[in-house]
Amino acid sequence: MQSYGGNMTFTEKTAIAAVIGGTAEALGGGKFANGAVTGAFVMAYNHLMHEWHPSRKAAAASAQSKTTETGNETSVLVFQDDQGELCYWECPHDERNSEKASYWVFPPEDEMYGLTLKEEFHYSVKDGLPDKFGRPTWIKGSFQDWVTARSLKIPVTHYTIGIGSWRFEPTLFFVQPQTVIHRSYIHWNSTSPIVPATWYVPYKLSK
Amino acid sequence: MKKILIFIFFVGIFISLNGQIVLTHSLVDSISSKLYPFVGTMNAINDRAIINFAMHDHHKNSIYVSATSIEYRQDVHENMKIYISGERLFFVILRNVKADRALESKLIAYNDVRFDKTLDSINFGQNTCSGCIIMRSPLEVFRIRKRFLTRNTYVITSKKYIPYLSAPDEFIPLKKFAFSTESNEIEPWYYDHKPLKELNKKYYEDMKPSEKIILRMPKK
Repeated sequence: MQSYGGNMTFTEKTAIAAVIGGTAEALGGGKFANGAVTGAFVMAYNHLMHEWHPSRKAAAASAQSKTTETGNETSVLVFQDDQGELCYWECPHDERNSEKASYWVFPPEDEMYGLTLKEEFHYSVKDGLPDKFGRPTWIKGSFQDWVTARSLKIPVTHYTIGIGSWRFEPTLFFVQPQTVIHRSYIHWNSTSPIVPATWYVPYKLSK
Repeated sequence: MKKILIFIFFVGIFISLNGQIVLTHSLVDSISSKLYPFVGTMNAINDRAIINFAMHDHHKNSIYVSATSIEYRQDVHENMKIYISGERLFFVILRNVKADRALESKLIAYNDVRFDKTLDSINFGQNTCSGCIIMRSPLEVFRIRKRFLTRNTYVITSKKYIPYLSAPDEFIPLKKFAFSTESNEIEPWYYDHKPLKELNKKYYEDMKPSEKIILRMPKK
């Protein structure tokens, strides 16, 4: 089932798991309905373990609550299957994750079959490490996000919980990201752009 | 006898009030280690501290000290000098402050050949931290003055300013930063509900001045 499963959409996979569960239970002499519920539950549990989410909203809510609980960044990878349906992979925790970085942990290979990475978004908490004087810092999108967007040719969005978001498009040249700031909260931050890394040489158009 | 005592008393007051403080390297070391013990070392944010020393024309018996930090090399300006003491390195700004010759010789000026070389050697600004916005409020300004009728004892008191830019110009180490701009308004986290403009507990806690410090310098 797994080998074919790669080509199926997430909804189809859940439906088939439910049917298999129901059939097995029926052969065992129980009620089909109860078996179907068990099957669906097992599939959903399996997906929960592997951090798959059926919708953007569910993935965003889960990633956001994980970030709030742990204080570390959490990434969500958006995949598209060959049917055009989107599915959302919430990266499991990596030991190297911190307030300002999240390492991508990809889904198991058999679950990746037929999927294409289309987008990435990640959440961070508002407060970063205090500076030398013990004063707070706030976390925002970084140049590294653009590097990721450019190298993988996918849009990357950094959400800072409580402040706003920075969306980086996969352009060849670095441009300041499309920013959505909660104006009532951080009214001055439009003058705090993303700083390119020192190694970055801005491209100059030839005349 | 009484007249003599009164005369000595007034002379003492006159000397204390008008005795200009001359900044020495030992005074800079003591002040920096007392007020900013973490200064000069690198941290996760990879920033460097600037300590601003200012003096008023009419109050030459007091030095005002304030500090902030910068993350990027673009924020280094002409009025900054590098000060190295042991393993500690930070920037110093002197505004209307008299420094002795020994201290002057220790400071590396912006136009000095060693200035850029020193910055290169510490890799300042090589690993920028573009994912962070540093909050500079409150700006704490310390006033250092000689204790009445003493030579080597200093009294340090402080006053805090929120927002950062509300402090007098001469106390603000740096007004404009390469990749961010400070606000003229009280920062939003000091309001529980901004439209009502009611300042919260955190504001009043942050505005409390630090306790008075007595700094005793060695006689030599």
